[in-house]
Amino acid sequence: MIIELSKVGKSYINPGTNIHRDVLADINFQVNSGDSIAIIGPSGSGKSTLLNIIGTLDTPSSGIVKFKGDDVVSFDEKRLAQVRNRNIGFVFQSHHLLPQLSLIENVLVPIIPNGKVNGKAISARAMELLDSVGLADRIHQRPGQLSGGECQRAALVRALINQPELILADEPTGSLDQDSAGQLGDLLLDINKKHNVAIVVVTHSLTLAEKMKSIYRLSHGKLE
Amino acid sequence: MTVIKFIIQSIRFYWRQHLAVFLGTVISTAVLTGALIIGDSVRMSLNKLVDVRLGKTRFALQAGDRFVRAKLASEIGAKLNTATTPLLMVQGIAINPESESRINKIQVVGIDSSFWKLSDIKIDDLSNDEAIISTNISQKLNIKVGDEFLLRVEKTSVIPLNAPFSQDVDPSVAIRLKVKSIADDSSMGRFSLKSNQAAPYNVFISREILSKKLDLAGKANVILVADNPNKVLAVEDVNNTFKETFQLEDASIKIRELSESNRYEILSERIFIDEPIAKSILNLNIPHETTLTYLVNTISFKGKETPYSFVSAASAPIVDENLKDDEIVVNDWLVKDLGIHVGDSISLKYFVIGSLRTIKEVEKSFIVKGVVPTHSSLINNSLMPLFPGLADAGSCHDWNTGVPIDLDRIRDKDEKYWNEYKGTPKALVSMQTGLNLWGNKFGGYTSIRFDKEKIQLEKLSQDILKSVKPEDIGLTFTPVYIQGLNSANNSVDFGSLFLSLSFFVIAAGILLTVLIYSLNTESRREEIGIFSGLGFERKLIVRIRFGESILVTLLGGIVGSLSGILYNYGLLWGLNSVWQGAVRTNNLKVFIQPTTVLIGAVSGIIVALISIYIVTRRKLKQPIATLIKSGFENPLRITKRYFSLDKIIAIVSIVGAIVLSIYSLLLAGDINAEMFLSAGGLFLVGCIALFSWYLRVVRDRVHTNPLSLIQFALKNAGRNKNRSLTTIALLALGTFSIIITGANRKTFYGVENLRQSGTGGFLFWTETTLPIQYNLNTPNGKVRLGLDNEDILKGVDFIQIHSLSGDDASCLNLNQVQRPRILGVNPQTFDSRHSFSFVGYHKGINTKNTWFELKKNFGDGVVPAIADQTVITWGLKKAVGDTLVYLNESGKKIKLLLIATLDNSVFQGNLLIADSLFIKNFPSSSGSRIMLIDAPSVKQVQLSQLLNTTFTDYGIEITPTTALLAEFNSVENTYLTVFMVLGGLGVIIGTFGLGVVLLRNTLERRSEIALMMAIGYRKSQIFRLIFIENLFLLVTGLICGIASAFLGILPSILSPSFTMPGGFVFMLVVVVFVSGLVWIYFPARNAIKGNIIRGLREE
Repeated sequence: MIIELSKVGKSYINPGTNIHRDVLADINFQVNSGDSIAIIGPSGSGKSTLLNIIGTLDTPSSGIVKFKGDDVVSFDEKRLAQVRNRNIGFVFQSHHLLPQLSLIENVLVPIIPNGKVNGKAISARAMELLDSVGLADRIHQRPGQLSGGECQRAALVRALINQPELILADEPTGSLDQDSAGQLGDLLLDINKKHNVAIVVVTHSLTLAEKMKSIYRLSHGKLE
Repeated sequence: MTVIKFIIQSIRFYWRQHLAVFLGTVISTAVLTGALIIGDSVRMSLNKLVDVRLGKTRFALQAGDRFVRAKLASEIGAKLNTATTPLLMVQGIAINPESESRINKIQVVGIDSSFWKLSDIKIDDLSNDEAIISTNISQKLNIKVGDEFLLRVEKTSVIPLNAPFSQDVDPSVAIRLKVKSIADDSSMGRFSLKSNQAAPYNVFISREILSKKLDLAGKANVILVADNPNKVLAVEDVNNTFKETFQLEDASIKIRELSESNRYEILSERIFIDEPIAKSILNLNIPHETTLTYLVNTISFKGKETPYSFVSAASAPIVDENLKDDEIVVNDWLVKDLGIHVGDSISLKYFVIGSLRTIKEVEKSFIVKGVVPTHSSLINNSLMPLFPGLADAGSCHDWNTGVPIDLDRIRDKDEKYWNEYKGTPKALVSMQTGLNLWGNKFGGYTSIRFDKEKIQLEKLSQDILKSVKPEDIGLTFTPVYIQGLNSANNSVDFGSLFLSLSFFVIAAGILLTVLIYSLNTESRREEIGIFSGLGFERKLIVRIRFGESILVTLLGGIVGSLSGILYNYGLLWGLNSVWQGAVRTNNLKVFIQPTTVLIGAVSGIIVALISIYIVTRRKLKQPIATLIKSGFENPLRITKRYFSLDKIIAIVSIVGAIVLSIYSLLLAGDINAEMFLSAGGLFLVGCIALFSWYLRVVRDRVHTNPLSLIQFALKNAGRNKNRSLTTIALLALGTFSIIITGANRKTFYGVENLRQSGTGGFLFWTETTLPIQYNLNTPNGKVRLGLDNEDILKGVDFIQIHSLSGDDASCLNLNQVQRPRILGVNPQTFDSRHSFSFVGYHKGINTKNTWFELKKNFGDGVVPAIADQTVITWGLKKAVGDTLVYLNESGKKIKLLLIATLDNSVFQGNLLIADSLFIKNFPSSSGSRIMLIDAPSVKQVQLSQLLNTTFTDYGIEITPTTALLAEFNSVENTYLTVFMVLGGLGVIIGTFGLGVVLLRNTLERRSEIALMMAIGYRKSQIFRLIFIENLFLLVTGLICGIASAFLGILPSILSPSFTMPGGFVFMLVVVVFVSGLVWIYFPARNAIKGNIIRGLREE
């Protein structure tokens, strides 16, 4: 088991009115190796909040989040960063590629915090991954020279570069056209199969959701 | 929601950004206003000083070496119905006998009770042994009320001390005095007729006792006139009244009756009748006789000699009008003494007395044309002028003539002649011959006679009074008060000066405003985009943005202008204390004029609004779509250029700078400082271009291997290259300017022996309170001053300079100078030594032997003059080719034409003219008070000791020429220090700008930072990334600035006596660096505090 959420709840206090608003309540959720899960739900249902808690970007107001059996509450900032860097890959609605870096450099950005690494091996892996998403001939291009779909594919490669066990994707096709969205969905499934990487996708797109093995619906803070 | 409401809401919501814009405006406005106020403060302080030093005095007659009746003051006062006072003003030396401390060049003012009517204080008459001293004397000599001190006063006389046969007297008179009171600024302690902010050393004593000590009873050489309380007086009114009250005695003229010859005789107390006066009298059209009697050393005939005889030149009927130039008439006594006959040729030897009593014996032969009786009604003792030391001598052995007399040559019969006939001439020549041989700069006649039968005494007096005008002999009242105010109002413009000195602070304030405003606009760019998208007209958007800014900048301007007052207090405190070297006074007061504060506020607001307008316009020019999109969407365009502009500029500039430096170093002779400065500037441009190139290369280089943190940081620096370059350029320029300024201090120690330097290669500059009347290079001069047995003087040359008192036109005086001191120099002295360097010439001036141009004839009444560039530009506010009008001693206007300018020299503050023209125009300016001494530097200590001992009673001040130059340089150097301090402050404020740039960058990169956190970057790593990026900009900027500056100041560094205030510059650079670190640290810390999730949503 990679991630396990037990009775997780998240509430916010409205700064103006001081009223509590429960976004998530009593969520129990597990992600195992090779899973492909889609979380769907209406806007404001707490999908992204749930994903952020799964990805350790956010902390729950109640309940327990365990990473490989360990409660993440006990993790210090360094350990959390390590988990995010080595075990989890993120893909966001926006690609967040750095404009000053070339495609290959962007893909290699997650390597930097690791310090000493085998540069050649990593570069070869990056090339392999980029080739697998059809970007092998664009590695020297800057994000500004690529299409939205290409950028999002590059972002996916960036998420994979450290060989994570889990990919968390927050509306990855949200800013793509239909074709590109389709391609990206296929790519995610392909990665899931080829690399046995668990994938959790938060999306509005039923087309994408249906490609996943499991679909959860989040409604009024409850996961169904 | 109205526009106004929206603006107020926005100000409230974005109060932090507005506060920062407000602070930027406050800084620039405060500095701007402060600089303007300081201009007012200095001007008003100098204006105030005019009142302090003159009291109620409005007009002054400054007779210099002439003396008028003291009663003249009350006569003028009575006619003008105003307060007046006569003064006897001379220079002196004050000595504390207990400590033996002394002050030279003090102003001794002989006063009576009327003097205090020109002030608001009442002081009882001074008794004979009482004195009032100024505060600075009390402090320097450490004497208080009741203490005794010694005053050595310049022995001045009606007869010019350098006139032929004037007595050889002690140069000073000592008076022991008791301090009655100490005069501070409110009680005329600063009394001075010179426009200078530096406090004079004043000793006020009874005029009566002073005039007695100087044998000038009833005389005055200064008359002060106050304003008439009921009528505003013009200088013409005063001068007209002066003419009405003017008496012959005021022109040192007296009439005596010669009963034996039945003549009225016009004589001058100055022995020789001044030429303008003589001319006026001779033009009266009354039959007259003129005489000129001279002492000759020897009359000889065939080996026989008659020593020391008076010979008269006279017109008919004393001498036959047909007597030719080479003919002489002798008296019976001489015929018998020499055994001569009519037709014999006799020889006359006499001294021609030159400048500084240099004497030359000249011989002239005459044919004896006739013989006259030894005594007659026309030829008798009355022909001998009343030479003091001669006329009153009981015997020949008592003669005191000021020229060497060999008493051994005087025979008994000579004594008998003296006893019987006194100074009756033994020979007579024609008037013209006499004028040719013995006429001198003081006048041609010793008497003018009128036949009593042809004119009455009273009429003669009246006629002479009518024809002789006071201004003919340089006696005129001048409006000293108005002149003082003019000098103060046209003084050094501290407003502009401090505006320039505060350039960096003002620029930093504006930069801050712009940066912060840009930051604000940047963070609200989507708002502008949305407005545009919602159909707001561009004008309306500008109005909304401006509405917010106007309120903030208005407030900033108001608070800034008020802060400017505080800033001005700070600056004036600095000028009155640590920077006193620039102003030579601690008496500058703050004067605040509302108009100035308003101008400062309005200027600050306008500057801020213009900056804001430019930024707003620029932002509004962006397409709406771009404005709405966040920073992530801005694509970075990469274009491959092998010959980019920055690359070319970098190569050309750096290579150019190196070539220029090497060329300058290889140049034979002096190192060209300007070339190095240019090389430094070029290197700075090259460095900035190099980093522009480097940042582009780093940014564009594609790494296929993972980046290191440093590589990543450098790529980030290259992301917004222009912003990074601006940071580097500003820091570099600031540091460059600070170091260049620091090292650009005027120093000269490495070149002190060079003739071309400002020292002229001379060892000492000396000034004496009392004039030295002898030429110290001649044996006679050395004997007279007791220097004849001093071996150390071998190879030592004294360059004695004549001087006419005037205002100090050096940079030590803040006032605009009307009449600088004139120095009479010998052009040959400097030309032969190739001393000093010229930096500007009037058209047609010989640039090779420029000193000799001082002797060139530029037309009637035109006297060529040379001065320091600094004096001409700043002190006089003139240029080469301009003229200054002076009245010479004969009351004639002379134009001093500025023919050339000297580079920074020891002559700063003076106008130089040829000594021959000086003597011609100002013959009475006795002796020499200034000397340049040419001697080997090894003799410095011994020579200084000898001169100090010999000339103690002359009030000598010996200054090594290098030290004098250093004093002048200290003014400029102080300004440079001010510039460095304010410049440093500007750069430090500029580093705050670096923080703003960083804040702006992190704001733009919030989502990027969030992403990095999401993908596993630790906060410390992100902090390091941001810190390294900005540290690179900070260090690069500083290194560029320091390296370029050091190239620019290479000549100074190579100089063996490099005197840059290294510690100060180092400290400033360190403070800039530390300040930069602080401004990097906090925004970097702030950046990693951001919420990851919110950051990731910033799309």
